[in-house]
Amino acid sequence: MTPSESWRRAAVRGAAALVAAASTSLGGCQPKIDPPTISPGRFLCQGDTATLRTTLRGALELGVTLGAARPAAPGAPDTVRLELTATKGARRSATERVALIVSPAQFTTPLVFSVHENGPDSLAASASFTPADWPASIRIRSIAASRALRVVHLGRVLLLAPNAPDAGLEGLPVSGDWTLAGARSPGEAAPRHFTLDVAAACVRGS
Amino acid sequence: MGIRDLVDTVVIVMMENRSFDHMLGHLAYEGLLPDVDGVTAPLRRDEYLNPGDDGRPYYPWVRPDGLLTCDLPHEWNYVEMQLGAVLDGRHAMDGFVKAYGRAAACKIASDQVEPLGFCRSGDVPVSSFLARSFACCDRWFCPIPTSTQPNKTVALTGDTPHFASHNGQIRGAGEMLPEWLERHDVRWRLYQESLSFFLLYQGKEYLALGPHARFTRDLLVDFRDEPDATFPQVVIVEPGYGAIGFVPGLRTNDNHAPLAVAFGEEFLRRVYTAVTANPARWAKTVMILTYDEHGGFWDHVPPPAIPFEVAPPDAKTFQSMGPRVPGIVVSPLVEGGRVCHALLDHTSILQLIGELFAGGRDQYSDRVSARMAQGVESISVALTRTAPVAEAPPPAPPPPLTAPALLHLPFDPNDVMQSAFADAAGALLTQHPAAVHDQFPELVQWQHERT
Repeated sequence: MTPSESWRRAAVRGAAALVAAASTSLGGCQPKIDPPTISPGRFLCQGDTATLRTTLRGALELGVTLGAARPAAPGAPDTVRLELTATKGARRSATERVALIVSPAQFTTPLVFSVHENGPDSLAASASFTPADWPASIRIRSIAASRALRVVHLGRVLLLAPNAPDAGLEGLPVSGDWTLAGARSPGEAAPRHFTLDVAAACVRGS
Repeated sequence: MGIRDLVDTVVIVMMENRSFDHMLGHLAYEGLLPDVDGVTAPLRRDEYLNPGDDGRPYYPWVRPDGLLTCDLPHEWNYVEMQLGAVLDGRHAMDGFVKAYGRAAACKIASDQVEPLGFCRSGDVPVSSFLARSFACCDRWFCPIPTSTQPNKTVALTGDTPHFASHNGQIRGAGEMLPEWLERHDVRWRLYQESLSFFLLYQGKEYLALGPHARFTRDLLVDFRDEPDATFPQVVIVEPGYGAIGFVPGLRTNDNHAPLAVAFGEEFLRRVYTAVTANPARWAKTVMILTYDEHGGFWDHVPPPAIPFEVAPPDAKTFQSMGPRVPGIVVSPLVEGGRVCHALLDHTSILQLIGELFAGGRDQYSDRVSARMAQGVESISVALTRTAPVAEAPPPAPPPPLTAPALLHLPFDPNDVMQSAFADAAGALLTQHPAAVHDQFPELVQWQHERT
């Protein structure tokens, strides 16, 4: 594959389509490859298209290696690793690596919150998740927990009953501020964590 | 017979930056040492869970030896994060992934994150062998939840004037162990693999240059052949610090990340082989192997709420000890395969020195006695035999040296330990050129290439 041509690589497991474009100049001795930019971003829903753009210098060839997609758990988002290698001759090369996260249309994921306050009869936790970790395309369908919790997320308040999925936060992104509070039973050792089981959807184009 | 009749020689070996679970957690996981508080199956359990900043759960995993991608965060503010919230008086020990993810040089690339990786016995055969053959101490905590320099200074003086790492030589440290020994007419010697940590203390460089300083290549012959009349009563053996890996020709095997542990294991095998080479000397020897601090690696046991106060002008009070570190007492005076659950920290070594050479474990210094009053015990609690084991010590297995290794590091001016050693090396070259020429010719070459 030569760097002057644009190339198209079909989807990862037939899920997402990736398009990469490279521009090149042949100046200099040592090949260089700029860190690729990814549009619209490294988080994709199945079926989305991402465009990778980079610039090569001094390279005669561009190789692309597609790593094995490996979901963290069945039904969880895949991490797809791409390695771009610009070469000139047998011994000169430069490499850049890119990881793309491809989410299925619907999946479940745990969200773990470290308990940071423990009174004699109460427990509390909070966290703030960034769009860099949870893109706006990942939206909540429902949440569940093994214990009763008061959940506040992006201004919405939910009183969660134990082991009962609740759609009260449906449509909200996972990213943003969360505050969780729960009652502590008499004699109960303070749990280290609250875990929410989140049923999520990947919303294309969002 | 008392301990002073049983022990003639104390050997102190302090490696760098690994937690107990990271190095020795496998003893429980692989069923090699009953009663040890290590890592147990299943690994995916709430007690071990460390969430990331993204809320995803991460768990410990068996990590084959090899280079790490970064030096894991272990400065005091990161350690505070690693220890987690205090729940019912105990730290949650669940912030190791968050701290790792926030360190600029480190990156979470998969669900197997480096701070939660722990070693297989096959990758740490010497440490594993020593822990199983002698007394493994599973309640040895570093005294302060912070980095190398303060913890090492506590080990060498019983106290520290600083609670954070210094980007240069350390000022204001009190009487160092060798100075205490000289004041008490105790013979001592330093064996250095490359450059000594003493060089980092302003005004104490002479300890690494004088007649007491030798190199580890002399260990075997000295232990085997030197007459008792001149042989040291206290021996400090220093590994080759990874932080001086920017000087070509100097060995790096202290196990500080990002180094693989294979060469540290080989270093320990050489030390053990030397210490056991003379049967009569070995019969009255106690070798103490530990680590200065946890180096950012996960441990599951919350440290006790024993405070440590750093005096002004640095002034800070830590509310607990630091994470557990490996601790092994190697001696024919311990019950082989016995786990020592006594609460220990680095001042436990100084308590033992006080017992042996000043008449009591409360005789080393006021600061060490204060630590003792807080519940920290002496190494002597592990010496449970009233006579040495008669059998010859078993040989240590050779470690595999096939893991991807890193013998030399490029100089990074942002690395405080590298900068401290570079500062010390520069001072050494200026102030003691003849000694450097004789003992550390690699530094002369390094300076020549720099200029």
